[in-house]
Amino acid sequence: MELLTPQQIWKGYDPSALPLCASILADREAEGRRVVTAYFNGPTTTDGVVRVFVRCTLPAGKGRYPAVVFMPDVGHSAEADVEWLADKGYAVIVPDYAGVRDDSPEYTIYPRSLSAANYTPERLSEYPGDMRFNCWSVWAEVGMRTLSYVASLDFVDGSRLAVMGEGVASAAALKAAALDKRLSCAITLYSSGMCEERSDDPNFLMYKVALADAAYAPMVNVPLLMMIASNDADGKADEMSAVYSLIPEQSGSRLSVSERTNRAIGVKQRADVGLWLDKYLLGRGEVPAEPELTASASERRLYYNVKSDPSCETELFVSRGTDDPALRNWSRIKLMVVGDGEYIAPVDVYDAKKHIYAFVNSRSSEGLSVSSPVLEKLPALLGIDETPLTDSRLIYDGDMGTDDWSEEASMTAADTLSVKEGPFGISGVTSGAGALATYKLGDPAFSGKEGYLLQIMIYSPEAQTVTFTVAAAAAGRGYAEFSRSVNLEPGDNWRKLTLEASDFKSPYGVCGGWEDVFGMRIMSASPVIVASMLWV
Amino acid sequence: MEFAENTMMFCVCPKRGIGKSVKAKLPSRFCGEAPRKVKVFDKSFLTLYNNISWNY
Repeated sequence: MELLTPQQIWKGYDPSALPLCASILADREAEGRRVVTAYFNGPTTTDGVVRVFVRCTLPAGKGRYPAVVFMPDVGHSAEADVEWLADKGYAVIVPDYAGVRDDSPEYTIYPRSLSAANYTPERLSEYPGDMRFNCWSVWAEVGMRTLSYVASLDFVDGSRLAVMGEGVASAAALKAAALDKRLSCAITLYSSGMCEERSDDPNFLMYKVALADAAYAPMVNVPLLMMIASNDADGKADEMSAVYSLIPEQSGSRLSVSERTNRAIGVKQRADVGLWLDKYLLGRGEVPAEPELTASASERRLYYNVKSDPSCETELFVSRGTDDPALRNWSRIKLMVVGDGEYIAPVDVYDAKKHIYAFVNSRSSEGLSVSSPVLEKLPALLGIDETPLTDSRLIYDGDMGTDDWSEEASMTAADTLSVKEGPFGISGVTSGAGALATYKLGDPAFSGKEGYLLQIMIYSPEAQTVTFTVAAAAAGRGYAEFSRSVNLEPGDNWRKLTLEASDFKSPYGVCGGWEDVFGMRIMSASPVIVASMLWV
Repeated sequence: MEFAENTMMFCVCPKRGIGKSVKAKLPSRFCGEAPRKVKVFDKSFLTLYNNISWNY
């Protein structure tokens, strides 16, 4: 078995060497934007050349604009994102890399020898046999050839180019950031979902050395913003954090973790993409320093030590005992100031033999949020004593604040999470968007057991239906959701709901038990207050 | 817990049926603008389509 490294695979590769032979299909102006569609020559093989379909969206009128080559996730047109970037003054070029499709005649045409680059879901789970001509390397080449095409356009400033890849295409953007010297910056959104590690497969090692993200990260030489979701359902948050740690520091790259999100950009991370592009394509704004996070033991207690840009809003998130990143309950931990931009936080450990995970988010006044890599520790190895839980049946009460809660990010523009007082002076957590969510039901220290009932004290100022949805881990990867709706009347004061696991239903069945439940969402048309949640 | 974003916004209305009026344009994920608040008519829909944000 011959192992090929990225250096061997891409040796002598010049994405601008061969002619582009571009054919313009249409050039139109509408709603203040110009849209150009075209085909050009992509990767070339012995039996033909790839004809790449590309759509360019830019501000109407004359000018030379900085350009963003944007490769959205498969099946996602990202139309609103493209228009927003164009309205900000960027030429946004979206190449199709997924190949043949049924719903549109406009797609990239791959010759027979590269038919493996036509996207199918199986592509993400099978190891390619050929390390040079496979979907991962060809999609990266499509991205780099698109940069060549973009640099040839008279409406683009070829000295200000960025690449942004989302989901499946984030691996292509990472490769471009490692290989293409013309870039000013790069952005990856979420993990690529690349192959799981299966060491029994003979092609696994070849793939790992030649194509995996970790093989390219050490070669990144432009500022790359890696945006990941802490609870991405593919469970790759730790892996992507480890990939980020391999990127050379001098590249100026940053990690941005959207806390308590699944394949979504968090409320506090919304501005990151725009600010990153403004910094490296327009020379505007500043990027905060990467926060530093270390763990230490003092008098057999666990302390996190944080160093962060003093002008930034700094938050520490900790999760205990859950190894699958998709299911973790990330608690926000209060930081104590010990110096200018220096903080410590003592953290209780309930089980010293289970791993504890942490990361720090540091958000500038402009709104750019950057993170430390995820830090994993085994408290027993640090000599930490366990702190017994006084009452593990109490999941939440108003005194605990908002630290274990989040909001559904696509429903809310700003952070509207707060503690609010309800009738009789009793306080609880509320979301201005009526979209509360918590992962605490899956925290090993607080999770439910057989025979438990979940008691929720809730208040709604007006009559409405509130829907409680629990997410339960399914066998293998993935999860199922089960819902229960409750009508709340006005003047109801506090209402005590007592629920069994089997009260939560989906069209396919009922929730089998609390053991697999890892999260709950409480959706309502107008805000409700949750004062307590406990197991009885 | 979040919904995946690479999905369309649905309007769920008992008169018109689930998914019949797939019209509510998502704002860009990068701009900080929120979609309009929605009313959910049919709760079974929420569990049927896990990854859909809903709007009305």
